[in-house]
Amino acid sequence: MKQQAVIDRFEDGWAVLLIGEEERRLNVPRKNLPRGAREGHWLQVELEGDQLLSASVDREATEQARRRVMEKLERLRRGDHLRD
Amino acid sequence: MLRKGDTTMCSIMRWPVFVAAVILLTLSATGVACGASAPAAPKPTQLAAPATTAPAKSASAPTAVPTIESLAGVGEPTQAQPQEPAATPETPAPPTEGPAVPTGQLEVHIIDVGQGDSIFIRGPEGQTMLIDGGSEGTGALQYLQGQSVDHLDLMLATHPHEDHIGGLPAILKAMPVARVVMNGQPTTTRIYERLLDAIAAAKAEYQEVKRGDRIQLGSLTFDVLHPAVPTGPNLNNQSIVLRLIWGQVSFLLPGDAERETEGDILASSRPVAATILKVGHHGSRTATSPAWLKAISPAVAIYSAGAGNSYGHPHPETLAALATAGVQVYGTDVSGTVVITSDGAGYSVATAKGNGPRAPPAAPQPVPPAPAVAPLPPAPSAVAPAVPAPTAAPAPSADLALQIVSVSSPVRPGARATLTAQTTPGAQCSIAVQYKSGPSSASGLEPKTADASGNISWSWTVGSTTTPGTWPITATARLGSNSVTRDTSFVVAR
Repeated sequence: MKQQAVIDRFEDGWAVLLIGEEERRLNVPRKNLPRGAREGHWLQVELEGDQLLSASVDREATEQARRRVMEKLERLRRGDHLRD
Repeated sequence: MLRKGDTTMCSIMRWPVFVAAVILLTLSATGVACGASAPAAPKPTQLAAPATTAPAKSASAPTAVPTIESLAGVGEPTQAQPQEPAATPETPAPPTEGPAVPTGQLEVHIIDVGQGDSIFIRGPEGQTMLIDGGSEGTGALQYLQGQSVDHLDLMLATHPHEDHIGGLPAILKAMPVARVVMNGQPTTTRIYERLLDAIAAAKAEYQEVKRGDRIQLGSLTFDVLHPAVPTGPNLNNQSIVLRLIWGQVSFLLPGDAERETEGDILASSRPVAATILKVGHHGSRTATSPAWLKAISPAVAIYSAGAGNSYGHPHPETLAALATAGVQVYGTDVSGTVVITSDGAGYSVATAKGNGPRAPPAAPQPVPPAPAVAPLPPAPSAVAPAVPAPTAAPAPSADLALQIVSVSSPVRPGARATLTAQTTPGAQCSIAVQYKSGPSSASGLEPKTADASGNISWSWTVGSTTTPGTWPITATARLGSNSVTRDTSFVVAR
């Protein structure tokens, strides 16, 4: 079953993924991720237990998350949340 | 390495719809200003012995504070104008007189949040500040509550990795937070997005800082040494790096800044010398370069790491470098929360488990035997550890050390596990792994002799029918008539 995951960070040879809505943390060998996968990339992953069977970068999900986060960040920067 | 990764369940914490009565503090004990850095503070000449845990004071009323200064226009690119210490009015005066003589106590708590970072600072006027919050559900909030902290004047996230910001949303929901400071470097994780949501819901002031800024928290001034520009590809290397001078005692708090950043800060010619160093990036070998360590020249270093973490933090290279530099090293994995208390003239270090600094790893090169290794300072007995600490074994004699450096955890049945340790070169070492069914007799667990550098390791296969659980491991080193035992544990996963 394919799931969404995001790369939180790299630690030596590990990539630390946050899986699904509940952001379950999972370390997977960095070399098992697609070439060019970077911190903050969203992935489509296939897992069996904690074993990563496949992973591909989901550019659309990454872009969506980036846009959503930037909008929220800009609102904080403008202080919108302090006004109402 | 084909070992499967480990997992840690993040509890699904759907926040209650009910938004607690978050009282807005319109007054804040914080402000940020741009300015020159103060010169290095000399190391104190006295070091109180590791003592009792720092007193818990009640942080009730917000302290009288400067007005909030906007950051707009502050801290423009600074590299063109290296700061001149000569012009600073805040040169630490001798501890006997002058306005720089602090009054009151400063407390810096390196909170044990497992594999993550969280630092609580209580200023002399009762100011409260939290730097990072560990992963979600790892205890930072409970720790603050246990310290009777009912509000935060300042919350700062060094960088937006999950092991630093995961615990912050719950704190923003649980108590009033006047101001949140970040580096402005976004990421795309849900936990980061939830942090932004929580800041908005809490109606906390939001600010971003960069090199050259100063964060004022009552009488405490934090110099922001990094980042120079608030964007970059590697989040660790955009960490906010802070230096705090408190009378004659100073602190350097580098988040997860790695060697590249250390070099960048050193090249900026800003003073970095500090009495107390929070070791960068959980003691990873990716941080704490020789030049960085030399420039800071700390007396005490504290790293924050989870026992048996998957990344081998702290790395033996880092521990060896700190030991070689004669630094007293504490780690949250072996000591629990570490609290530094200072009156500005001296300081004391207290640990939740009551143990003293780590024994230095055995000297890398077997030079003249005894003097090469600094003797282990006497372990304090003021605080009786109620819980058996993973490595709370009796202090070893001065010339026989044993430190468990890493252990695989979690390991799935059928997979290989490895334990590495540092001991005195030539020591006879043995290991016992205890499962539900009894002691393991796996091959690879035979007694061994440490090599000329004191390194030793065992690798074995966890049986495919081994019962999942947390299982104790005991390592013993013997040299002549001395022996030392260290306990740890590892997790056999389902």
